[in-house]
Amino acid sequence: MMLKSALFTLLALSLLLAGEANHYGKKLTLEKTTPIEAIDKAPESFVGKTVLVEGTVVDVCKKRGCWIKVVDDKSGSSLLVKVKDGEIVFPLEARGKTARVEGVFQKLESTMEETVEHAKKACKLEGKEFDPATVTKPDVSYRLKALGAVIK
Amino acid sequence: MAGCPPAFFFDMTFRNRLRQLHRDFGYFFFGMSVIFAVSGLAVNHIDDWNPNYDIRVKTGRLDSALSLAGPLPITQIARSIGLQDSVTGYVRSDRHRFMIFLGTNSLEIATLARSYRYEQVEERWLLHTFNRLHLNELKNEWVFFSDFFSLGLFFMALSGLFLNKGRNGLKGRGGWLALAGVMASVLFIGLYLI
Repeated sequence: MMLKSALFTLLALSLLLAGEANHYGKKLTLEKTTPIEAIDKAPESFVGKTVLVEGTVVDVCKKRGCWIKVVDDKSGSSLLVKVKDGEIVFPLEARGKTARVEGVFQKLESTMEETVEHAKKACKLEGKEFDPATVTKPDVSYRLKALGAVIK
Repeated sequence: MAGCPPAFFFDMTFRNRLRQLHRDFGYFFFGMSVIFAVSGLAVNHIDDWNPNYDIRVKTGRLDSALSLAGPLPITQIARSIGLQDSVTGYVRSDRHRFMIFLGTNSLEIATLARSYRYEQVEERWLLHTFNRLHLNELKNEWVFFSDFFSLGLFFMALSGLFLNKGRNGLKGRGGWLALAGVMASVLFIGLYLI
């Protein structure tokens, strides 16, 4: 009887916790969203700024849940949202749902060696042969370092 | 006898109490130990194998009879590939790409290349749940319980040193084994972290 009660309490507790799964990280503080399309068109002007974006989640890091790709439904512009491993974990079930994410927009500049390594890994993943001639300049990429998110 | 532990530390009464506590903590944390052990193995090898989801990918070319010029004929595309899943939504994910959501599965259509990539996702529920607990995804009250588990482990590690005395105790074989375990960690620190 005691064991049954304990199991029931554990089940009820887990269901209660499961219901809170759509808020991640810190509470959102901004109200006005910045269109992903605007960021995509002029990324340099947003570097270092804290922005709130909204879009459909089209992909999620399948192993660690440490990034999501958010797309602006109208323009098709996309934005990579990265979180510190373990701080926020996005579930794969977020795909197809709408995400509001607040974070700091960052610019990442890779060295030539890093760019070559990335290209090698990408080729390996796709099962293609790596051709060093395809890498001509160091990679520059942008991402949103998420502080908090709401997915519904 | 300055510097020596007090006499009661090694007497039978104290050792018996320690043994009882060690045993009870062991029973209580049985479940947690299993969760952390299994998840520890799973997470250690996450680069080689996805412990959370079983993902199967199917790629191919779209039926040449399908027209992609106007609105995307989602149902026909899904049917032509032989998918039974019901469509839960879709979005243009790129200038020439659409992502169709079919529950937890997804179908990416490249309109220019007329190709598709279907991803079927099945959650490894038990392992995923263990990993979520291990990696502290739940936060909130779980943090307190897992903190308690950490303290419990610390207590069991310390109390374990004093469960036996004599040849197999800390002053004999047990001490050498404990030292060997610590030295193994020190070796890795020396090799890779200094």
